[in-house]
Amino acid sequence: MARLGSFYGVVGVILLLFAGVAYFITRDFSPYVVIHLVGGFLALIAYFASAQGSVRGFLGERSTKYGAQAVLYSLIFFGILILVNYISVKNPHRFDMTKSGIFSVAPQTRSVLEKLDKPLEINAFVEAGSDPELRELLLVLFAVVLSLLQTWIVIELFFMIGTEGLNRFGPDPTRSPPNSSGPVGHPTIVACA
Amino acid sequence: MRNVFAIVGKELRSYFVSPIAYVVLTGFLLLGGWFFFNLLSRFNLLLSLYLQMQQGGEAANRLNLNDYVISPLMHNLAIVLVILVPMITMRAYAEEKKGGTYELLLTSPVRTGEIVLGKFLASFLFICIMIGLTGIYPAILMKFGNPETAVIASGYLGLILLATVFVAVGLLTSSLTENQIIAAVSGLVATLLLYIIGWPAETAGDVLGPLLRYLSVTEHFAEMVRGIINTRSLVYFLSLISLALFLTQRSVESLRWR
Amino acid sequence: MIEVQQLTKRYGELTAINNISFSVASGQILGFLGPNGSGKTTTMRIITGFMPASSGTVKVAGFDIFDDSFEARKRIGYLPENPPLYNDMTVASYLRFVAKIKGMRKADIADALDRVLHRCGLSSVINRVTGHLSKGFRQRVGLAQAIIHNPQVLVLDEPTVGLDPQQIIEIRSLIKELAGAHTVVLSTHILPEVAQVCEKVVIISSGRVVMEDAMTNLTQGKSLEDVFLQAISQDEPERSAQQSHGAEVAQ
Repeated sequence: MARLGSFYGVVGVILLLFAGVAYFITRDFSPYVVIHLVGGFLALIAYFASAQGSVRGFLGERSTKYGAQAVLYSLIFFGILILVNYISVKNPHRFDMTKSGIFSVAPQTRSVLEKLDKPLEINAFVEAGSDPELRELLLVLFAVVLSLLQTWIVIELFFMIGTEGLNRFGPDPTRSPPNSSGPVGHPTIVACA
Repeated sequence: MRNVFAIVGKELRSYFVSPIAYVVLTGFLLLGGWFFFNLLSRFNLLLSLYLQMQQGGEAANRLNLNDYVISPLMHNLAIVLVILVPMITMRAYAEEKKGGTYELLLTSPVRTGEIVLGKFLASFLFICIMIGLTGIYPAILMKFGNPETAVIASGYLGLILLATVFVAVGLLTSSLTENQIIAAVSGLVATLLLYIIGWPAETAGDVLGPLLRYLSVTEHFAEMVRGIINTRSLVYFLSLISLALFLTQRSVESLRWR
Repeated sequence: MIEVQQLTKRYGELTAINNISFSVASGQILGFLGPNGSGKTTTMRIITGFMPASSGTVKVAGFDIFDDSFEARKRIGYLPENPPLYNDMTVASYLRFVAKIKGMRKADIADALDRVLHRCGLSSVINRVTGHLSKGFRQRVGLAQAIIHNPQVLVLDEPTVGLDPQQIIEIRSLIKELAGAHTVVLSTHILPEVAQVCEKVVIISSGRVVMEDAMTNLTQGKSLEDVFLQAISQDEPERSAQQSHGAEVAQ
């Protein structure tokens, strides 16, 4: 029963993720989003309530300290990357490699623009933008793909925890005691994109 | 740094003493050659057709090697890379874990950063060789025609950057598992995701749309193929590469304290 | 030279080794004995820095394997149960690679290579691809990679398993030669081997040390087999008590 504890944790996070993505796409607290939010939180509560060793023991473990450190470094790195990308997007510079410079503003245009003394008004005639029917279709498709993905993940997790543990993916030499027949501890999810 | 060179040497040697390198290189060039041949044939056909027609002169003027041969060739090669690169990188960490040599690396005085960098540089050099060999196609074009070489160079830069991103991502998935199939499939899903993430950009709204477009490797690549080298794209590619390398290093490092 | 203190390793719910402590003096050969699944390999993996302990410390040549991992690893040669060979490399190029990553200077590598090739009897297979070697030769290449950088400490995990009798004799005499200049930890469940080769013995069972003593003290009047079986069976009442307690808890 204690083994299922980690299972709840993972399911909880996945449910919350799906809720988040769905909300981001639809911007609306639909039943789908609500169910997943609630289910996610309940699963997380079950995870923390289950006997994963005492919380204090968990916090004192060497692995937790380094794990937290690793997460922190990753977040910092990620943050720096986002900052750099943001600055770069705000200050782009193009090098036009074409001979005739078809992607750059021509010198004649530049001199014309310099002579302007009032703001320039441009009227553009374009085709209609997003097709509402197409948008609906895409959303439905997206929802179907999400649901299928979810079902698949849950079934996989169920089999993973239920039958041979993680030996399904082959024994990890650093995570299981070598050549013993004991149960494989500490379920780890091999990250699949 | 010496350790890095030692690892690069070992990895490259193992690519080339096994059938892997030859199968992959041959396959890639075979496909590239087929694309090139078809595109060039079609180009010639169109050109002769337009020149025969009376009002064809204008259309014939629009025909040029860059837009009608090089550009589609590049895009086709990119799609092949989406599939091929994870297959090349899948064995990098997974095979070592299965074969027990990971233990050798981790119990030797080698820093995890050196391992990650060494494997990355080896795969990067391999990709460069692979893409470099396709240089024969523009070489042929330049001998018999006059395409814009700067645009070709810009396209190739884009292709190499795209391939390098895929390499970094493929190595990341390889480091997370000891099963090569899982590494290959998850790497493929990741590269494919990067390729198609921009698809819903038009209908996705004001915030999500441009974000998806920025994240899409295809958008930046297409721009470079067209002849525009934008600093935004360079930053984008380098960011993805460094993020993947960083996460790979974290993954290898995690064995130390788990 | 090697100090293991209160080493514990947990895999989730399972405790593989529990509060293990022992030490090995410089130049000694330690026999690390125990039944299958007792935690020998786990302990060795922790000592060599492949994986971290859940708690406890290991000091090799004065360096903590966790805090000063880099320095400690420079001084260790490790032969795991399955020799870590790259199957597509030749013996010579493999050993050269190992020498490089163990931090040897370029100038020293050629001589060291000659030395270990000769010492481990690999002269006939220098340019053979390791994937094509027989088990006996693979084991010898494994030993060669462990000693090529002349480490102070050698950790050998079941180095003679699967070898034919002649090869076993060769490997054992090689190990005896290495003692004195090197400190050796040798894990095995072949008792005669320990009796012949080792000066000190640690017996481990179900993740706990049940005996730690010099060879001479242990076998006064008794064979090593008797000592071993007695040590294991002493653990028996504890083990079966644990199991029944576990059964009660589960109910």
